[in-house]
Amino acid sequence: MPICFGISFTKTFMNQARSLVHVYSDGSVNVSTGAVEMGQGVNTKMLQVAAQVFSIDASRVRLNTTNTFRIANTSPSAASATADLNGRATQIACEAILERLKEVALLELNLKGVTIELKDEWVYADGLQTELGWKQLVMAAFVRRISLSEHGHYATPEINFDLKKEKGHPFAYHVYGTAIITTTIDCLRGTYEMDSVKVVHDFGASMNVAIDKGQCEGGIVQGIGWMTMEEIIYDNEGRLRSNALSTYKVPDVYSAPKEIQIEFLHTTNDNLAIFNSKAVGEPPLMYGIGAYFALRNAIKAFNPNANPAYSSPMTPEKVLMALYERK
Amino acid sequence: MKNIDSFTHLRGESVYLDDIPVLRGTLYGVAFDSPIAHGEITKLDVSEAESFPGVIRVFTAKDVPGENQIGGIVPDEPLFADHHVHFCGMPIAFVVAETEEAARMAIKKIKLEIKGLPVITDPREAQAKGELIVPPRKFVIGNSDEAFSKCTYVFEGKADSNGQEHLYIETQGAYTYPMENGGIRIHSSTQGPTAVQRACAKVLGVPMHQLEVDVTRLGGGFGGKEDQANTWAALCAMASHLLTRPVKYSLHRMEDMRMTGKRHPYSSDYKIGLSRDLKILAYEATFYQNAGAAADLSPAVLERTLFHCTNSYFIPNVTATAYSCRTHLPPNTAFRGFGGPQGMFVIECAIARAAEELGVPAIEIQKKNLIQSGNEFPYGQIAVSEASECWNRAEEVYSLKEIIAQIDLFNSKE
Amino acid sequence: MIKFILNNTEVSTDQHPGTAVLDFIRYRQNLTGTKIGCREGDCGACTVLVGELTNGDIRYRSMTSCLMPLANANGKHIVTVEGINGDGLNPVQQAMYDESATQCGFCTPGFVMSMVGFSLQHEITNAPKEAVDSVDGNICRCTGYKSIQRAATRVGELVSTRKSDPVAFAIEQKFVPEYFASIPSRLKALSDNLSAVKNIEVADYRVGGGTDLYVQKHEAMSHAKLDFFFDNPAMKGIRIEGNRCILGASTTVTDLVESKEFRKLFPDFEIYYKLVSSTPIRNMATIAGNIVNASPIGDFTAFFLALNASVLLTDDKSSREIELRKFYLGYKKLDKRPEEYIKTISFEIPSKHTRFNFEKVSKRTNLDIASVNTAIRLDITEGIISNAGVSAGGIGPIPTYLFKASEYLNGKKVSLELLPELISIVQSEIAPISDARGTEEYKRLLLSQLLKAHFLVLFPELDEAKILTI
Repeated sequence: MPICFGISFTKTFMNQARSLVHVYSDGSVNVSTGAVEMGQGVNTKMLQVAAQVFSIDASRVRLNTTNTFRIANTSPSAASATADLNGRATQIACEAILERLKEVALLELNLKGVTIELKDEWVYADGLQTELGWKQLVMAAFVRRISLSEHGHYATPEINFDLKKEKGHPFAYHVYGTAIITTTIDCLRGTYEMDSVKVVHDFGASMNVAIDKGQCEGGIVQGIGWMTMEEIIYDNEGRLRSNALSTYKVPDVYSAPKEIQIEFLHTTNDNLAIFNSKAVGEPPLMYGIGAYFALRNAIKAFNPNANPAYSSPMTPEKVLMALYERK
Repeated sequence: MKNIDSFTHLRGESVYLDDIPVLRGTLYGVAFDSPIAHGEITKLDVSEAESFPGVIRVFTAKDVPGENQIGGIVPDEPLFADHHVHFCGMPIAFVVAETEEAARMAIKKIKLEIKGLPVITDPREAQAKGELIVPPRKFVIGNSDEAFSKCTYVFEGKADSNGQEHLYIETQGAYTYPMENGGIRIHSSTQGPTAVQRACAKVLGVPMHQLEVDVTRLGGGFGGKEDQANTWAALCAMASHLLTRPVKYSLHRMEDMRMTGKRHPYSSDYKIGLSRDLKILAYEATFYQNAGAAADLSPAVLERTLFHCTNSYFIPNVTATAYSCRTHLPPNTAFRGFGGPQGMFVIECAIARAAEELGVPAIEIQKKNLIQSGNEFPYGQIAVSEASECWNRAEEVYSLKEIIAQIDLFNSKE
Repeated sequence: MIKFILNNTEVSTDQHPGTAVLDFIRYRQNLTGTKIGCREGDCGACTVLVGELTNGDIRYRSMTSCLMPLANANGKHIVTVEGINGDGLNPVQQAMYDESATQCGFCTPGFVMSMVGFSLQHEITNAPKEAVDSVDGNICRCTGYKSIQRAATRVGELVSTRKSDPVAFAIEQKFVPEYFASIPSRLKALSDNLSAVKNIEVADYRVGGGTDLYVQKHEAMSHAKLDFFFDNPAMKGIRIEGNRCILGASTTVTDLVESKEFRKLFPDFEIYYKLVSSTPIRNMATIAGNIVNASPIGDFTAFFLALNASVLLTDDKSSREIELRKFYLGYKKLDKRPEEYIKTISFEIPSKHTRFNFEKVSKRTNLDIASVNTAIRLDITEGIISNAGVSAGGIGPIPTYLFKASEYLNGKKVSLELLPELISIVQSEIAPISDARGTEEYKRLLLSQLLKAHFLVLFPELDEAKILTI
């Protein structure tokens, strides 16, 4: 099952974000963005962006709640683009503060015409470590009345779409991948198990392997759920019959595939992702579509005459009916 | 680096909406929703509910100080049903009481009579009756009509995919309280704080700067709290605004499942044309999206179905048409993939069908048609593709040939 | 007054005894680590541990606090995630941390509690697997479970090194804080001045484990007049008398699982019970509750129907025994007067000539309500079926004993040839309807298939390929 998913809001105007970064006089950092943390780990990635740009320990950075008084006119956390948009905005804000701090460092160190860098909480001048550390630098900037706050704004470049022609360049980039899915059907009972999902996924250059792997595994199982056991039932009167967890079943610990392997394909084509770490929220869900076709192939291996309607989800009911379908 | 919330998550110390310590004087709201999918309200009497012990007020459409409207893309979604109901689960009243228990008991005292009207649940039926949320959209590349005549193989068929409940483990909810000078602070379990702010401003008839929406975290969203968190926030904010009291509503699971929209079900037709050497030359698809009773995010979801209707394949001639069909289900909404999976399912069905008819493995057709860098998507963007890289690497690292041989061996034993 | 130890603190409350423990701990005690996901025992976000002293021995079990009445906490140790937190992370939390097994975090405390419950479990045979089994009642929508399975396996590996008493080991390994060592004596002291939750003469509802009542009548339970059976010692116990096995009405599924006597009667019981609900629900749900609930699809009802079990009904003045297969008169209609309740369930113990099997298929294999379930009991002497009992659920308004099918099998020689006729008789005997669990057509086909499955399981010597083509 190959997948290809475009990253960006398809409404071009929504591809903008803002981040508010405060560096406090004690060297601690507070970041507010428009991103909403819902388990996808976006706050962790935001923290990584700030820590990486400043080259400071992650423990110095704190992520704030998402608040419309701090960050206005946010786009929803959606379209897999939250980390890209808000991460870029955070990067912009942090870099602006960093530039000011570098100016302060030159003054503090009484240097001119040298390249200042921050590495692991120390100021480096032309590659050599100085005696100026992060905390002292920040305090010095404060005393010199330099702004230690910045509001970063990011708007995805290059993208456009002409609604009249239905043509354009709506996506910052695409995410690709391929999954091999195997399943075993109990041909007597019509029940089945997903044996394995083996994936090669295009992460670009993942900035957080643990989080990205978790997004993949979770997306795959949610996608398999959509294609297999999760069955929404409305009656003809429009009343929801699958109206509780007892009647609407999502995957449990036993219905996850026995094996999920994720091979990280490190791709180097330039993209607009934050630190080249491609968006990962939505794309893996679509590997689950392969589960439908794996089941279909298995049914046909048992009953070559079977030709069930192309209709998902492939519930145990549909499987059993197809196994014993007569043509 | 681990998720920065791991430590507090594992100790049960992370704060979600229902964990926020309540302020003195907090009231509890519960929505009263329509038991009928389509009809005209002939009687709505909340007086008995309002006099139930502990009940402070019962709000209905007539109490809305601003606009009775929460539609995001298209203003077609009233907060409270007014005269008509359009889906089972549509809020009709909001009972606010000293305790949640009292509110829930009072709800049963509301007297409602509805004259039933015909119910549509099938998107094709809705389309045939002209019930569309927005005008249809069409993506075209090349000329599929012409191309089909040159194809060696052409297959047509129908493919349906059902909806999906988000089932975030934390249900929807909101907790609002009045601030000085008419401001309201809104805690909401939402993916879109600005959407909540905008919707509440409209309903309250106040400028957005009066409304501070604050989100610590969500116990899962998956798209289900992108636009659909607005309703509960607006109900609570309105009650807080009118009563100058803190108001909280945390939905019960069955309320949540009943009243909120889900992944869009789609019914689709496809036609696929291949050359003798299994290159897909032409593809036509018509998508009937079951949008539910209001637009919500359906037009945007519809668009993404078209964007992803050819999945990872390069097809030179494509005509894809999509209808967003108005039915009497709760307004369907964003769900991880946002219409893309529904589009991809159909092309995969078309390929599977061709493979089954031709007696070749589907992977042969899939692999042969993967999009390459420089190819054009039906919407004009030029691909920078990793499709073949991923495919070939998967074949190699997972020894696809061996997997297939093992499967064939297993199946031959049956 | 209900008294119990909540984490490290003794609490007493005069809240209505029907109040859900979940509401008490979240909204009265402000312990918000226990989450609300569904209020019907299907997600496990509200899982707590319940420690109970029996014969001086403390046992902890996981339970879903949404379905648990306060009355059932009386005299026990209730443990929430706050009660197991130590200084940093305990081995369960650490394993989940290391494996990134938490994303949105909402389900996480429930998973943690289930696994801590596992670490306190007495019988351990295959710890890494059983650690995974312990979260069979917890739903996570984010992770896809693989990271959770990896974490659980690590927890299991640690627990498999246990050589000492479960609680002592758990304290030593910091699964639980040290105060757990003091709990048995504190519970004992508590039990000395404990008053039983008053039995109400005329109750609206009789509550066992609460696993169905709290789903169906959730809002009524915190007001209703209730009588509580779960901890009534007179209604507990599994005993063998002569050739009969007698179960107290409040016997839980877990009691059956842990009973050596009972397990001896059904060597494959593990296969069956794993198909029935989840660990926390099995810890709460009572057999009489399953039977009296009269759900047409009750799993243990089908199980005991095939055994031709009887129930002993009493109104405290007089008692009568009735065959389970005659107990159901119509949809949710029982041959039982309102004042009567089930005291015991009994059945003839399977002999060495008896073969028994239980089958169940549902949309999701585990923790789901069956589309169709069925049980079969065959007494076989020299290849001839001398006495048969076949039951099925999901195929009519009541849990059904298939009289005609059972009758047909009596006196027959075991062979594949029986199946076509058996299936056709069964098809004439059932009346399934289409609903959320499947269409009529499916349920008919499925039951036929499960009858074949019975034969395949009971008579492995039969030709599998042939059975598949019948």
